[in-house]
Amino acid sequence: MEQTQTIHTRRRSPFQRNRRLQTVLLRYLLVGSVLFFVVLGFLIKDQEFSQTENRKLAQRPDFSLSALVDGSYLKNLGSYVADQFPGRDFWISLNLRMNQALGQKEAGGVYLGRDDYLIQIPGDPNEEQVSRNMSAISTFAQAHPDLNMVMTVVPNAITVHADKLPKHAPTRDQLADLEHLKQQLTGAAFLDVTDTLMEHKDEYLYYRTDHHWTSLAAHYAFQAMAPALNISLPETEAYTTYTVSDTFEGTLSSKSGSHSALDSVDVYVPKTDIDYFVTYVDTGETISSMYDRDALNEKDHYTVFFGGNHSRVDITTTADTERSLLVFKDSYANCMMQFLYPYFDHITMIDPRYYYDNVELILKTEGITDVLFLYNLDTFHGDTSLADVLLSGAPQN
Amino acid sequence: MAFNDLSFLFIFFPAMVLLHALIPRPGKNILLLLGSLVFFSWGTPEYLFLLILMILFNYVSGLQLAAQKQAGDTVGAKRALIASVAVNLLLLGFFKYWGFLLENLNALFGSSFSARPLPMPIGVSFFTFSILSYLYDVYRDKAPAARNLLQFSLYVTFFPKLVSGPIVQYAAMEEQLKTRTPDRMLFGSGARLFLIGLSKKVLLANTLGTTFYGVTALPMDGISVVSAWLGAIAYALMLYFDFSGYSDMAIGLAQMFGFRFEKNFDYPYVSSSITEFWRRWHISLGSWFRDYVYIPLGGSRVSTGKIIRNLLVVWFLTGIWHGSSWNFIFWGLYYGLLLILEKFVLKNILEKVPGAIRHFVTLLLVLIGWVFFFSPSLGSAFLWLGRMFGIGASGFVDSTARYYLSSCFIVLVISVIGALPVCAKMGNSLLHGSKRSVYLSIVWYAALLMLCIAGMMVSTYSSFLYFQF
Amino acid sequence: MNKKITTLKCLRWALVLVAVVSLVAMFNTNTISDADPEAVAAAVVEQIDMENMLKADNQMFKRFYGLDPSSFEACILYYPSTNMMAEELLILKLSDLSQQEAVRSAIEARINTQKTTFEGYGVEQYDLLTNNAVVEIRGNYVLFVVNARSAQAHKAFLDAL
Repeated sequence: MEQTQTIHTRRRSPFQRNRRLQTVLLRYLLVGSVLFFVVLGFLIKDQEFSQTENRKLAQRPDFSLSALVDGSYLKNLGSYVADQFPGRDFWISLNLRMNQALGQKEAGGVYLGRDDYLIQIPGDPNEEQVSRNMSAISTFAQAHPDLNMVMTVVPNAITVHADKLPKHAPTRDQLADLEHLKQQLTGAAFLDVTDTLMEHKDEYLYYRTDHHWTSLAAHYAFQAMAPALNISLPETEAYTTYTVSDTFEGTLSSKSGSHSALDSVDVYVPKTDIDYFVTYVDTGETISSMYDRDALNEKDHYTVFFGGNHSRVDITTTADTERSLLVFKDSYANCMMQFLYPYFDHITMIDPRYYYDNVELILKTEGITDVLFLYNLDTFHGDTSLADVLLSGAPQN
Repeated sequence: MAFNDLSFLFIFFPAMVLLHALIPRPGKNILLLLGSLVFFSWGTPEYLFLLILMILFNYVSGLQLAAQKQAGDTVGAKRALIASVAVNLLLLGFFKYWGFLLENLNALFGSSFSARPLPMPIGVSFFTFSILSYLYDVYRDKAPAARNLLQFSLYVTFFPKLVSGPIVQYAAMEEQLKTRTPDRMLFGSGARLFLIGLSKKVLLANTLGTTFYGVTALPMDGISVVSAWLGAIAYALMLYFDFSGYSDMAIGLAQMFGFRFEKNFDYPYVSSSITEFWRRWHISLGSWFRDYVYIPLGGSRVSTGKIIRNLLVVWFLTGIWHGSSWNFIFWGLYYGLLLILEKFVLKNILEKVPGAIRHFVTLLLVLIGWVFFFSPSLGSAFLWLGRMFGIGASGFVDSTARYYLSSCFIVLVISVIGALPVCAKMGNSLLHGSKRSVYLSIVWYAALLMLCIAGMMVSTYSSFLYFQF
Repeated sequence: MNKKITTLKCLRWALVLVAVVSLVAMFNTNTISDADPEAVAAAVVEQIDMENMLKADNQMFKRFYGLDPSSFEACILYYPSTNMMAEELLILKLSDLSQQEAVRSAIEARINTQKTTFEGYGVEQYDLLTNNAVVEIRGNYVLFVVNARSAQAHKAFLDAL
């Protein structure tokens, strides 16, 4: 019996031999690859910050008994391994490529569109807060009938660049959303720039890798908004345009992990003698330019406009039009200011997300004559701070 | 920590493998126990003390049971068994059903007990069932009571099966805890299973998940018939690859440390009856209920009325084991009724029906079952089923459905093939060739591993589905 | 033999008793603390750099959390003086344990708002909100802190109760 078995095992079929060989090799494959990456991880220096993901990376957690007991040590160790894994960026883009090859058309809340367009998928609106904001704007407008108030909510790339979307991709009906906003607004003019942007939809209106609009789009919008803001444009509007960056990789790249395109950022400098200076109220800095050159050395080149978002920024000009503008805005407005400043003596930009002070006071001290609400639709749908800022100066009941 | 976490694969796993290889035989069980306790603590460290208490309690219970049986005190032994089982079930119930119970009490009496239940200790449903199996096996003399506390603790906590099974019965593991010979062939076949399981989980289940979660996030009134079917089918495949992948990884890991466990899944979607489906799906749970509930209740050797009662009890429990909500109870009873129908009414009819039709009907019934499984409430499950059959649907097919269908079509095709035995057959037929085919297959496995690492890097959000149970 | 069984029986129930006690201790975190809210706040404040933090009035609290400050026994909120910072410190003393859930969801909503505000712009702030925000609801006391030293603040908070 024993003997027959030995004979039998010695005479394995090719299949059995191959299977055994495969089994042995798989053992080396699994253990070998795991150890390889472990050793490599020890050899490679840890990174502080990921340019591609635009976020700080987890660092090696400090060991302590209390951290071990409450579980935070092992949890942090997990994020550390993931964040500092050798070739993290490579793996992320490998995963994206695989998913794309398998037919996926979105990653990280971003549509992977045609012509290298990355298009943010808009979130659902916070209905309650949106109507609260709209009624706060209406109340604010009715409390100040002497001020010229204009509201513009800019549609996003998903609407304007709809032809760049993957086939059949579900979208929000932003046109209906804008119409809905318009109906809720009383006491101020709602200026929809969608048609204007749609007329130029084959041009470079939104960055391929970022959720912002370009200076070109802002320029078209500005022309559409001018009448409502009582701005009479000169016969020939003249600007010197500079391409300040052609290596811009924006937030949508970071979100989706797709790095197949780079954007260029243009600035439009009006050909005019009117001078201005910019005061950053939160830091007290005063600078004679709204462009921040240092931003071009950072990751986010869109922050070339005012160096990003601030709670309050004042622009004082030599325009001498006796008009003073108050802007409630999100980051879409940052590249609009280059078109607006020649027509006002003073502009105050308020970003309600960061602004905690009294608005009524600004109306008085700055002699405001015009008010502009300038948002993009996606941000406006999620905004939770505008109503509070507008109501902050209102008399308390 | 899940097997598809980077921290498992690149910290815990290599550490255990290296230490296990270096430590001489007598220390291996100690290492595995300590490792398992660390593994448990990785998720819910606050329960480590409680887990140790439960192990001690059941260890002592086992000894007492054995002593009473030896002394011929069957009544006392039975009483001790019932008491111990009750303690274990109370603990499980406390973590799992406390909130559900209060919720229903509140609904019934209009009271307002607030219940913010504690987080569940990981694997509590699974290790409690392992313990119950131990107690009953000792009581029934299927296995001797554990004298060695180390071995018993390892049986309860062994990390490959701790989180989501398979639920290994004590009698099946008892010998292996004492003597086992880890060999490199067993390690290699464990590595194969682990790689296959990891790929099922990371490459297929997670990708199907994007479709499923995309479709189910749509507003209920905007769902077309095709979307509703797509959601259900994507879920059925996702759950299979998720769970069977996880079981493969568990069994593979166990093999790498010298343990042999039975398979937990056997191509359930080839079944041509519901009875067959449950012989192929989550096999270890089915056997557990058969051995520790159905048979003790009298099994099939009793009157028809009692068999029906027994089946309903088993399937009610199976349902509620999966989660504390009415969906799961309904889902369990749904299968109970189907099985009763098959057993008593359709038995003779089914034999005459062509295999293809039986297979189709089985898949359809299973799919309907999964709708109850994934829906957040009974009501929304019926709404979803309605959409599948055109009631309240926004047309037969819309552009959303086209979008999701085209996004996941390739994955669906791969998944369907992967869920059939033909996939493994093709893999094996390759090995009939020359040695070169072996090297080719290794390259293939290496590529899968690389893709898995890539998938694990981004899938911080996709934790394992069965952890909630 | 019987003696052995009796010993095992006793041991068994002793273990159950210990398990129950430890469970009750874990479950019963809803202890009511009589600590003075100002003293608790002082203990927490000692742990973190408060140089750029301002004490908020009731209106600010309402704006941040959408909750009515007068419904709590005590409500202490610090927010950063320059608004481009994400640091925050909130200590609440509830007047009723039933307020826990509302407070929890208000704080979660606040964290999400702050995250969307800083996402993409403020890498440091976003990191702070993701990795250094602590929410602790312990009985009638609530702590929410976003700070580089939130762990220390958390410990001080628990010790002060």
